[in-house]
Amino acid sequence: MRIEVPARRRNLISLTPLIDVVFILLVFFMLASSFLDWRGISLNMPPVSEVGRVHDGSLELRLGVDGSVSLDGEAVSRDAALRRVGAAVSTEPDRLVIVRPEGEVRLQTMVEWLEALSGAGATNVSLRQG
Amino acid sequence: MKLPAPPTRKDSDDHLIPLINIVFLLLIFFMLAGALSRPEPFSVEPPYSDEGQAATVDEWVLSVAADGRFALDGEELLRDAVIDRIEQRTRNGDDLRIKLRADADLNAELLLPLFDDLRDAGVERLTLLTVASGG
Repeated sequence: MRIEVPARRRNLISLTPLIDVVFILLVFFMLASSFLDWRGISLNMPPVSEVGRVHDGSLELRLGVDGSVSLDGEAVSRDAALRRVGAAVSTEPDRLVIVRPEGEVRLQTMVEWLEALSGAGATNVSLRQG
Repeated sequence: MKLPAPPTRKDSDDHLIPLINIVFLLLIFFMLAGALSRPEPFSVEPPYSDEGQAATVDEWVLSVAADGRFALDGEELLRDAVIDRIEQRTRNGDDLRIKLRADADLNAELLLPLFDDLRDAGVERLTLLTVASGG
């Protein structure tokens, strides 16, 4: 007995060019897309005239290159500085905290301090030239 | 005389279909999951931070490399040109939010004078772009 083999359906178009194009698209999207999880920290712009201005009741935090910290002119440890800032802003939430890093302080360090200050409860933090 | 039948050429396209399925899946994944971004003229390693809200990198992105080069929306410019451009935009009273993509290694002495210049150029809101550290 003879069994009829169904005739093979011929592909209308060849798949190879399709794969080429899809591969090119794939490589393009792999290279061009970024998966970074961007975050934004809003910064307070410095006030117009800074020279000679006395900030009433503001806390001034100076950051040294070697990791030293001074709060209102007094050298303190990082934890003590954060504690004191936290205590100050708990009574007066709008109290201005001015962060003045030394010239060589890296941005990563500044960002860590902004984070820590915000974690201590300070909402009004300003980053200024020291 | 009996000739051996020529080896039947298999239709070479058939076994490619699973491959195409996978490649299509990858393609759709990268199209949907990845955000297309304008390539920067230099590489910027943003600071890590867990603070801040999710942000998009779209317009008025000012990139600052660790060596102090500037680029506005992917176009490398001199510092004065950046300030000029921002000033032109803010002159007609537009509320301009600058997104600052600065390198984590950038020094305070390079970065902080820029804040003053941006303020003088009329920028009222500045967002520092960081990258979430949690993986």
